[in-house]
Amino acid sequence: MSQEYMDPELLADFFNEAREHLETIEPNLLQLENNPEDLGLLNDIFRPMHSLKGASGFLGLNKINQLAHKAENILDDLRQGLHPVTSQIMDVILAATDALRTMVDNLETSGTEGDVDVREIISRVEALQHAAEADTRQQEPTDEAPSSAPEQEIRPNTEAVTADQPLIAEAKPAAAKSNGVRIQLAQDPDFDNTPYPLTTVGEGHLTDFLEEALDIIEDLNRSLVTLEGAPDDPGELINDIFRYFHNLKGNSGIIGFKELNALTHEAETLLNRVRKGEMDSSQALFDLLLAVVDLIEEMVGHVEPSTGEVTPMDSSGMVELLQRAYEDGEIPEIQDTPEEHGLAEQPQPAGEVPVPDVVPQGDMQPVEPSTTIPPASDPGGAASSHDDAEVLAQGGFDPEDVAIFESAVGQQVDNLRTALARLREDASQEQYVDGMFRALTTIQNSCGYMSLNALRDYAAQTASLVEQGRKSGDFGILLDILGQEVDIVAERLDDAITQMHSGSVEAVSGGQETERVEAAGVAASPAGVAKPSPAPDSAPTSTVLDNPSSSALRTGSAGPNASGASSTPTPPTAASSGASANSSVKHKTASTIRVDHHKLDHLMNLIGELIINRNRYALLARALEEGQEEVHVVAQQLTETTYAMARISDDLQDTIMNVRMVPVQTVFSRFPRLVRDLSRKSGKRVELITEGEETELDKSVVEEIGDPLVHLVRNAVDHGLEDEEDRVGLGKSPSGHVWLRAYHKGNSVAIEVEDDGRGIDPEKMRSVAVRKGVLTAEEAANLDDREAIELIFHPGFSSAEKVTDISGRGVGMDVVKTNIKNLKGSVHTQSESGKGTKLTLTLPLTLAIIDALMVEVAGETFAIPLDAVSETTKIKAEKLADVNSRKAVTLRGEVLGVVELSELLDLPPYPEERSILPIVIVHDNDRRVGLVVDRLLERQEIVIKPLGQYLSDFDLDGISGATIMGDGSVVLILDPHEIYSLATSMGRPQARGLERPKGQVLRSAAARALES
Amino acid sequence: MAEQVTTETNQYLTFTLGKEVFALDIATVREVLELTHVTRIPRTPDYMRGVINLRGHAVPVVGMRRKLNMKDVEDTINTCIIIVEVEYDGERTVLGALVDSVREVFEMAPESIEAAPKMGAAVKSEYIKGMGRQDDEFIIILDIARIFSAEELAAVQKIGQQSPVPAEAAG
Repeated sequence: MSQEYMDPELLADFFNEAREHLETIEPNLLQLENNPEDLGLLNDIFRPMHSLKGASGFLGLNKINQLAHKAENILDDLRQGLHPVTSQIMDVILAATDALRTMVDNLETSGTEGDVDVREIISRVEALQHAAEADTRQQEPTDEAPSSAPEQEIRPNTEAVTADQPLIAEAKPAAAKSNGVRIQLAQDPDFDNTPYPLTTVGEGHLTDFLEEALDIIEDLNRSLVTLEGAPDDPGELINDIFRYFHNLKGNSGIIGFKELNALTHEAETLLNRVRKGEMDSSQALFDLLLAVVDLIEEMVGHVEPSTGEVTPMDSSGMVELLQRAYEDGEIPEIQDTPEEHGLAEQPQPAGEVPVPDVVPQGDMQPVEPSTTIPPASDPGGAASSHDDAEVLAQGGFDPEDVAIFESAVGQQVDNLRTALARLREDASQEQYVDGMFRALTTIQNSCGYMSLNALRDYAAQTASLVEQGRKSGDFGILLDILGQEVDIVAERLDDAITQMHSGSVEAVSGGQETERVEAAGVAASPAGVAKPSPAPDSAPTSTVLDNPSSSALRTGSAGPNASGASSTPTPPTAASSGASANSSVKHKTASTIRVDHHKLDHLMNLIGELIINRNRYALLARALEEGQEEVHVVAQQLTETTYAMARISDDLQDTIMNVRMVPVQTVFSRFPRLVRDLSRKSGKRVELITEGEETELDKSVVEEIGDPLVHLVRNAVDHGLEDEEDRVGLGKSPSGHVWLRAYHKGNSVAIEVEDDGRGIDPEKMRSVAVRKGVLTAEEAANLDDREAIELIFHPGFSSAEKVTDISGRGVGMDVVKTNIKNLKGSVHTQSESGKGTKLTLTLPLTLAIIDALMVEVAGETFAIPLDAVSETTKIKAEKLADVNSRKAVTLRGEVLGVVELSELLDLPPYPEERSILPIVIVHDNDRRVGLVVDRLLERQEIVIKPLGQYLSDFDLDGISGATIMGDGSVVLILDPHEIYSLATSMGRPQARGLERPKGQVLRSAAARALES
Repeated sequence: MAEQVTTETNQYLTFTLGKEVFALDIATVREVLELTHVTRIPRTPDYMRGVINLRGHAVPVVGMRRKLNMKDVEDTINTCIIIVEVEYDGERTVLGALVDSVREVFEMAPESIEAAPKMGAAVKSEYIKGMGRQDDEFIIILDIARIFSAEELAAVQKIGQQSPVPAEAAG
C-alpha cells in the first residue's frame, strides 16, 4: 500500500515508534533465548509487538500488520506456556522482526512496504503453532462456522486463508487490529459507519480535543505498561489510568463522539472496580485495556479535523468485552448469555481473569469469511453485539428493580421535559440546566444498574451535551437538540420498560445508539432480530466508498464490516498532503524529534531576549540618525549590544544543538542481534561489548552511522576474528571479542569498532592490491604500512580469501568511507597483525555549525575546520627542504611534509617569492601535513551549507561544503581528510610510470616519523 | 511537471547569449538576479562558475555560454543569473544560469513552436526543446532540465576523463 496519501506526520511517528518497538524487541528476544523461563521478558517482547501491530493496522499497513499479528500470536502462546521457548521459535520471531524492520525501512524510503515475503514467515509461525497445538490442545473447532470462526484466526487449519491475506489489499486493519491479544471483537454487521459531524463549540475545539485525546492515549499506554510491570503495587497509577479514561470520556461526550464515549465509559467502569480492589489486575486485564487504548487511538484517528466529522467505528465488540469483564464477578445471571457458550468452549489458561481470552462466539474475521464461512450460515447462536436488546431479551430482571427503575426514570424524564420547557422561555436559567444535568445523570446511573448500557451511555452523552452547553454560556442553541435527545431517551426508556415487564424477546429496534441517532438512511438491524447476523454485509462497504470525504487513512481502517475483497478500492483523496508528491521525486518523510519542554521554554526566553536586543539596535540607529547622542557613546552602546547579541546567539545555538542530540544507543541497540546472527552463521563465538551508549550525537548523524557501523562490525566478525580453533591455537580466548565504543573527543565524537582478531597484514594488502590491479607492484611497494592498511577502503577491494555471504564483496568499506565523508567525519584504521583491528570513526557533534580557521589562497577565502588544525605557524622559506616535487620542513625536531594549498586546489600560485610562509598544520587523525597559504585570517564559527545535489556529482575532492560570511559572500569549507589524501598523492600522477621519485620515500618516512 | 505547465502557460523567459536568443519555460524560472560575486570552486569544469549566496543558500551557477560550447566573453552590466528550479536526480534543485542578458517574458502558442532541427543549430539538439519565432528572429527554447541532468553531467565527465582538455572544448 502506498503511503502517498497518508499524513506524513503520522507516518513519521509510526517510523519512530516502529523502530523503537523493534529495538525493544530484539535485545529482549536475545535475552529470552538465554532465560526461556522469564515471563517478564516475554511480556516486554509481546507488548511492543502488539503496539506495532496496532500502529500498522491503524495506518493500513497490511503486511506489517499481519506479520506482527502472527508474531504476537506465537508470543502469546509462549507467554501462556503453550509452547516451550525453543531456538527454532526464536529464529522465526527474529526473522519476523527482520522482515518488519525491512518493511518499515522500505516504507520510509520508497513509500511501500516492499516485496517482503511475509507469507513464508507466517506459515512458519503457523507450522510451529500447529505442532505445539497438536500436543496441547485437543479442543476441536467445530465445523459450525460462527463458533469456530474466532479460533480459525489462530488455528493452523486456516493457514491457506491467512496466507491469502496479502492478496486482499486494503482489507481490514480495523478488525485485524482489534483482535489483538486474541481479543476478538464482535462486529455489528449493521453498524453504520457514515461519518457524522461532531458537536464543537468554536474553532480549535476539535483540535484541542484531538490533541488532548492523543496525549491521553499516550499517557494511558505508558501508565498501563508501567503498571503491568508492577501489578502488585497499583497505587496512584491505577487512579491515573482511571482518570485518563474518565477525561477522555468527558471530552468525547462533549463533542458528541458517541462510540468513543461509550467505550471509555466501559473502560472507566472496569477500572473503577479494579481501583476499589474488587478485581485483580491480571495480565489479561492489561491486554484488554491496552487493546481498548489501541481501539481508542484508532477511533480518534477517524476524526477528520478539517470537516469536524468522524467516521464511526464499531466499538460494540470491545464495549461488550469490557462489560463482561466487570460484570463477570458480580452478575451471575449473565452466565446464561450466548457468549458464555463461547467461554465454555474455550479452554482457559489457568489463573487468569477469563475475560480477554474469551472469544466472542459471534466474532467474524471479516477478511476471511468469504472463503471460510458462508455468510448466511449463521445458525442463530451468534450474538455479535451485546446491546441492550440482548440484556432485555434475556429478561431475568427482578420485578422490584423494574418497578423502581420505571418510577425513577419516569420522574427524571418528566423533570427533563419541564426543564426544557422553562429553558425555552429563558435559556439563561442555570438552575434548570443543572437540573437537566442531574436528571440525565440519574437516568444514566439507573440504566447502568439495569445493565442497559447503550441507554446509559446515551444518557451520559446527553448529559455531557448539557454540560457543554452550560460551559459555552449560550444554552439556547442547544435546546432543540436537547429536546430531541430527551425524546429519544424517553422513548427508549419506555421501550425498555415495556420489555422488562413483558420479558419479551423482542428487542428494541436498532438498539445501537448510533443507528438511532444517525438514522442515516442505513437500515436498522433486521427488525426484531436480537442477534444480528454476524455475516459481513457489503452494504457498509459501499457506504465507505460512497463517502467522498473519507480520507485514505480512514479508508485504510474504516470499514470494519467490509468484506475484504469489496473494500479494495481506495478512494484517491486530496485530503492528504502527499497528494502532490511526484512519483519520481525521492520519497521523503517528515522526521520528528522529541524535545524536553524545558528546552523549548528556554528557547522561547532566548527569542524574547533577541527581540529586546533587536529593538535596542533600532534605538541606537535612530540615535545616530538624529544625531542626539555623541557618536562615541552610541558606538560604545553598539558594542555592548553586539556582545549581548553574541551571548544570545551562543546560547541559542547551544540550546538548539542540545535539542538535536540523541544518544548513540539508538544505533548501538541493533548490534547485539547482528553479532548473534553473525556468530551463528560463521560458527565463531563472539562477544560484543558496547561502551558509551549514552554519548550523544546530532540526530542527523546518528541516523546515518548505522549502515557504516554494520559494515564495520560485520567485517570485524567475519574477517577480523579467527575461528575458534585458530584462536585457541594462538593462545587467545576461544570466543572472539568485538568492542563498540562511543566517546567524546574534543569537539567531535569518536566511535570505535575494535576486534581482537587476526588484524590486517599490510603485506597481504599489498599483494592483493597488485593482484587485483588496483596498484602496480611498484606503487604497492612504496606504500607504508598504514597506507597499505587503508587499501581496505578502496572501491572493489576485498582482502578476504573467500567471499562469504556476510561480507567480503569489497563494497562495504568503500560505503563506510563515503558515508562518513558525507557526515564530515573521518575513518581511521589501526591494526596490528595477530592482535586485532581498530577502526575509529570521528564524527562532528553536529553537522550544522563548526569552528573554523579562515585562510586566504589566491585571493579566495577558505575555511578549514578547526578540529583538524593542530597549529598555525610561519616558517622561513629557506628552511624548506625541497626534494623533487615535495617539500618538507623540520619543525621542533619533527619532519613535516609541506604543500602549497594553491597547488592542491589548482589555483594560481602566490605571485611573488616569499621569505616567510604562513602554514596551517592540519592533522588527519595522527598524521599531519603543513599547508602553505597566502594569508592566515581569523578563527570563526561558521554555519555549514550543503553544496547541493548538483555539485555533489562533480569531483569535489577537498571541498566539503560552503558557508556564508557576514558580508554575504560564499566561502568554501575544506575537507582536511581529503586535503591530506590529496597532499600525499600529489606528486604521483606525474611520477606514474616514471621512476619512483625519492620524495615519495621521504614523504613516507616523514609520515611514519609523525605517527605517534 | 514542466511539460504540463508549459501547455498551460505558454510563457517563456527569453535571454541572449551573444546574438542568439534563447528561451526557458517560465515554470522552471524562479527569479532573475543581477550578477553578484560568484565563488569559484576549485577543480571543477570551466562552465561551473561557482556558487552564490541566494538568501543563505549556496546555489551553484553554471555559465551558459560555456555550457553550450560558446565562446566566453567578459561579464557586462547586462550579465544576469537566472535562478531555475529543476529536478536533478529525483530531487528539486535550485541552480543559477549565467547569461549575457535577459530580455522579456514572451508568449508562444504551442502550435507556433517547431521541433528542434536535427542539425545546423548553434547548440546541441538534445538541449533544444523546440524553436519559436518572434518577428523574424528564431528563439531556441532550451530544455533546461536536460542541460542540468545527471546523465548530461555523467556524459560530460566521461569526455573530460578521456581527454585532458575541458569538456566544452571536446564537444
